Amino acid sequence: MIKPIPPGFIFLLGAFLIPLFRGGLKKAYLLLVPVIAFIDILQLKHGTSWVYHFLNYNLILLKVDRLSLVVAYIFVIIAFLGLLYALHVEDDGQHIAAFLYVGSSLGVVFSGDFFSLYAFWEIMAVASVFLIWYRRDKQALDAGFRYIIMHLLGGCCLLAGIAIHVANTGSLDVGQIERGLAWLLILIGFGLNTAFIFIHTWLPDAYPEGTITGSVFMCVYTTKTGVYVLARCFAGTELVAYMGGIMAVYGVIFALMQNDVRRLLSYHIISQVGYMVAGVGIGTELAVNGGIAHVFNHILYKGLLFMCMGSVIYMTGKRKLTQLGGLAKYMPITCITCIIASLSIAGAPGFNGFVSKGMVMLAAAEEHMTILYLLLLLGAVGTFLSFVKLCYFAFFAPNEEIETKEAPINMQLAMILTAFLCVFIGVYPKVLFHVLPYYPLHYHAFAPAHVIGIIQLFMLSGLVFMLFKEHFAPHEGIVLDFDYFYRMAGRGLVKFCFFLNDVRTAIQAGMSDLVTSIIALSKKPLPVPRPIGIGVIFVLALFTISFFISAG
Amino acid sequence: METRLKTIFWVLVGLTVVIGFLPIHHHFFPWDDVPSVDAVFGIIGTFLLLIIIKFIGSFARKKEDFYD
Repeated sequence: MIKPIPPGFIFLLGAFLIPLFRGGLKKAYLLLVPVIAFIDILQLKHGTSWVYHFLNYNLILLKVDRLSLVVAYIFVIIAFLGLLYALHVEDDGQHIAAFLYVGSSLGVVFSGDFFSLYAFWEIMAVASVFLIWYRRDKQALDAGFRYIIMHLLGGCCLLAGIAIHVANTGSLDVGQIERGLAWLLILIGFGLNTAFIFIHTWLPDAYPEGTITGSVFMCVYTTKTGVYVLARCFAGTELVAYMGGIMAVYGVIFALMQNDVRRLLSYHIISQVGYMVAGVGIGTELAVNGGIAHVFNHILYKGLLFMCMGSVIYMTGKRKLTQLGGLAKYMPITCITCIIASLSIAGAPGFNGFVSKGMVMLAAAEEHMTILYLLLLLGAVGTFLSFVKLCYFAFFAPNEEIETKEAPINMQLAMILTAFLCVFIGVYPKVLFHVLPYYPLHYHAFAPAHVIGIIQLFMLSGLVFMLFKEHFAPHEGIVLDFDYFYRMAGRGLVKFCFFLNDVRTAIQAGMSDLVTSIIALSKKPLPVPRPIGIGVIFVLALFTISFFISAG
Repeated sequence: METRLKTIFWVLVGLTVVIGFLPIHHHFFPWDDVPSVDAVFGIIGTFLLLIIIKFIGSFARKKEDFYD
């Protein structure tokens, strides 16, 4: 029997074979690779393998347990669906970048040591930036540079933290970390990818600028690998739990103010990742299960939302809510699947988000974390409002100016399959419960109090939305976030560099003039022009002072 | 058609509030015993978010070319 290989390598190596195929064969190849990777994952046994000795340390490329398996399953499932969605794209570079991105994310998931984890972490950052740059316009180029700068800074923090951790403990194993400087630096490194507030700005800046199909991949892997490593190293950290609560509310507040559809979705990633981070931070079995279940579900509905909005942008060329409307009659499949994704992310009963969000909130309640619970509840209200707004203004608001047709068949098929999974897990959550890190799981997804509570929450917030609809209407323009400070600091740094350059130029010009004057003086000693005389005296004075200083 | 939908919606809102009076509650927080408390949270939450976005929008909303 063939020994299973680290699943990430299937994508990493497979990326280089993409240019060898053409036409239908290439499409078949793109879909075949995730299928092979999935079969490979099914063959994996718990434990560590693919261990290499390097500089007195063991590099573990394949550490398998329930946590890594559940994340790997969904990473490969969405890779298949994302590639199906991107099947019409002729640009090999985009497919290669996507493969490297998926492969390196799987590499992070199965890494058993920090060194391998860091290596895959950086490949992820570099591969994903190409999914932005392949849009090939100035906005994408600029956003890509900001994205990679932030991620390289986060990578530096992570590397410094790992170095200190290894120096302190002598161990490279990925696991819980003792509090201290290493703990803080690694938390910042992981937190940047997980979009902790204040270091989240790269996400809503870059994701809306990616290619139509690239953003579907981007919305999945970076933040979720972040949650995964937090679950490995920071489970049960109260600070992380409250950061999750803040993210849940912060994300929806800014999402409600957005006009760009993919920026709105990007802020919702922050909000939804907040639930996962909260679950991991609470740290009980139910909470970690809830957080990881939310990773699984979120990947499906958020991938679907990016697919739906990608289809809208692809077919209409418009990305602002103020320019959209009335698309339900032209794009019924996109509309229906978008509504399914919206109900899923909002956490409506019968859809997958309901199951996992309920687990995290119940865990917060069981631990009597009142503030966290209320933050998550407010996040749920905001999410519902935001998606009522998105669906209404994109698909149902009157707009006679748009005439279009449904997206290509491969895009529709990907959306339908993803929507099916959202509903399937929503009505039959046991299939997900079986693969969660802690099993058996004692959780009743459809407890009457929970179902009624959520319905009440949505009905009444929907009622207020209906009555005050005009106050939630989208506006032209942008909303400043913390990136304002980073951008201003960046501009300040550039101005300071220009100033230093001016000083250098002035000194260089002065010295050149001095040399010219000395040459002129040597040829014709008298009369000496006044500025040259001053220059000579100045130099002589400098020499004299330095002589006395050195003599003293 | 629209009026009919609105009527159905109002009826559903009324029903959900009434169902909240059934004795099926979690018991984690002091407010869990209040009937239809999630309906109240829905209303308060929506108004709270509306106030926050109006406040932030008052100084953070800028023209599209602000950074150019």
